[in-house]
Amino acid sequence: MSNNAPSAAWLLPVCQDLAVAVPLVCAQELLEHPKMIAMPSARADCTGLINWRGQILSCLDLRATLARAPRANMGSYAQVLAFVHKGGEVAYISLSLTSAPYVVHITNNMSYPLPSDLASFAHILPAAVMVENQVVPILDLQQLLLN
Amino acid sequence: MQDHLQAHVLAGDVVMLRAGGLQLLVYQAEIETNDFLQQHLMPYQQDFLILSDAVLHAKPQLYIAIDEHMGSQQTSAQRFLLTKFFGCDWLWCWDDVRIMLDVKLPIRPLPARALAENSPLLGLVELDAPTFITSAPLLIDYLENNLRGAHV
Repeated sequence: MSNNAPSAAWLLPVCQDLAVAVPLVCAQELLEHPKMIAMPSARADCTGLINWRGQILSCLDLRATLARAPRANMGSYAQVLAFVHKGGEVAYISLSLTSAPYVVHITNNMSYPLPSDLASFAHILPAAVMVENQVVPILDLQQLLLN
Repeated sequence: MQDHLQAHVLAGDVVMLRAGGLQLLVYQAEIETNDFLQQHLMPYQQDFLILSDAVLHAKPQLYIAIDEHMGSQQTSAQRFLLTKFFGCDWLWCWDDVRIMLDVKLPIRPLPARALAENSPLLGLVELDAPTFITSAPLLIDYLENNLRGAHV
């Protein structure tokens, strides 16, 4: 079964045993030791806000989003990502990461099933690809923002 | 749902309320009184709460400290500035209270994805530090929701 998996992608480490992939074009900027604006009454997976080029962006901790760990303080990195809504509007979001993302090339264009422990997150992880002998879910940024 | 709201301007007489690293902004008209803390307060086991030494009284005064460090130990007199909002008997403790008259501040929208469902925050303005816009009714509702089950 083929899918529309990107041929190259950013691999975003979530935790020791999980990384997610986003299309190469989505990555806008990797911020090292970003200055976070702490925000009370934030959602359970939101570590706070960052001011990125004058825009206030939510910063999400995917470990909390994917129920791998409670929300932690801001990681060492914030990856700013962009995507285009169906209406054509560009939206931005940032993800808090404890280690730096890196680019991978996806040579196997097969779609793989999500690991069973991630099945309940299929709405934001609609597909998975094989990268370096690991099944890596692809993160749907629009759904992440909507959910 | 979009991650951005429309930009607006906050205009009028406002009050900046600081609790630890958190700065809030409300309209001055929502505040009934400002005063200095006049007595010692004892810590209470519930987040957001400090009970006064009047705990032995039939109806002790509730003091609200929304920064977790503010209520972690016994508090001396004059430690806090107190605010009483209209329509609420609680006294709110602040490290700093600053009245600003006739301001016009551009509001930075908050990303909807970041906010919990009952968040009292309405936007962000840049003063000396990022400052969240809120309102007294929203703050009170938020605290009441978070204090449910507390034996107060």
